[in-house]
Amino acid sequence: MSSKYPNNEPRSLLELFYVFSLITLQGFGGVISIMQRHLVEKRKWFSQADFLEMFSLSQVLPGPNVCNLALMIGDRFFGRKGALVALSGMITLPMFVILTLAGGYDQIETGSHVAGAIKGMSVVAIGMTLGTALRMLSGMQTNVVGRLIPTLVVLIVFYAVGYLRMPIFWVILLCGGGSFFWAHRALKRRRSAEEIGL
Amino acid sequence: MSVFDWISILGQFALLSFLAIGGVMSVAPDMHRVVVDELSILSNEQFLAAVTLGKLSPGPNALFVAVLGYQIAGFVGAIAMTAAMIIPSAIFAYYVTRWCRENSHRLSVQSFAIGSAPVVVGLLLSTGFVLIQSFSNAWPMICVLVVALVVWKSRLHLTSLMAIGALLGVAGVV
Repeated sequence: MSSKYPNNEPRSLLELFYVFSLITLQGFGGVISIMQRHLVEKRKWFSQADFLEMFSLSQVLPGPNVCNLALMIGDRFFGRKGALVALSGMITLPMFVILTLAGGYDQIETGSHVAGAIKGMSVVAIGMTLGTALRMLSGMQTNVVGRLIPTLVVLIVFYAVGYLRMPIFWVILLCGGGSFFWAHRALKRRRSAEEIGL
Repeated sequence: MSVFDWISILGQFALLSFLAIGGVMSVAPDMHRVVVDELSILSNEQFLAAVTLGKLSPGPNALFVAVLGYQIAGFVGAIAMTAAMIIPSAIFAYYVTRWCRENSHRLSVQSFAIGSAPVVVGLLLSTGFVLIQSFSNAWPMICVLVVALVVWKSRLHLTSLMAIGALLGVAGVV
């Protein structure tokens, strides 16, 4: 935590709001990379390592990852108020943009060029979601937990939620719980093996 | 829609807020189940349109929830749905962050990170699978798979992919 640059931090809540609005409005299809470029490289509010640490935590927490990250950053500089302001910065302006688009969407006639474009983009949107899943799948940590159980978990979750349309709550509770205990057991075993090694 | 329906939807979305590990897109199948399958207040096409707008507008993808709310009940609906989706997880994240910062070395925190990954992958695959069924013929589905492969294997910028998709859509290819 000490690697935060003391000379570079937001001076006011207003600046915090402004910076996060700026970041979020540039984030087409992914805000994280823009945020990293702004906060680490340009404004130097954080070191790369510091940012990555917060990033990995934000990935684990439920809810929109970028919003969680904004919240953590705001909290670090200005406490609870900062968290609230950074989160509002992330959401307020994009909300206006997306609702304006949604308002226009009703007026689109079926079969028009705009409808065609939206259908084309829908295809890309679904493909992106699946592509992200595949990317995560190939990047999954298997050195500790092995391949078999995580693959089984992926398949069971997909069958239950995608195919059977079961409520996510139970699926997360059962599969997520099982997956958690499997990882916990494997990590514990590795840790004790390391201790014997030492 | 009755007040009871509203309470039911907002309550379910607030619950989903806590379950949205890996982002709001992971719980999209459940939202689809609630608003399209069970209550039938939105069509498949409307749901897909919301997800698409979420992906193509700037800002967090999660804001597609605002579009769902807008489609159901205009501006007020948008605010209500977004609040239901974001506030519970934000409060949770706020306190957990503070705890985790001091306990990041703990086995349970690491186990959660590793253990949740396959669940998130399964949920995202489900989201794609549920949405793909909005198309009535095979051709768009094939295109979806091509895009998925491109996203997986290349570093092509997502904005350019969206532009290509739009052009192909205008040309009537998709």
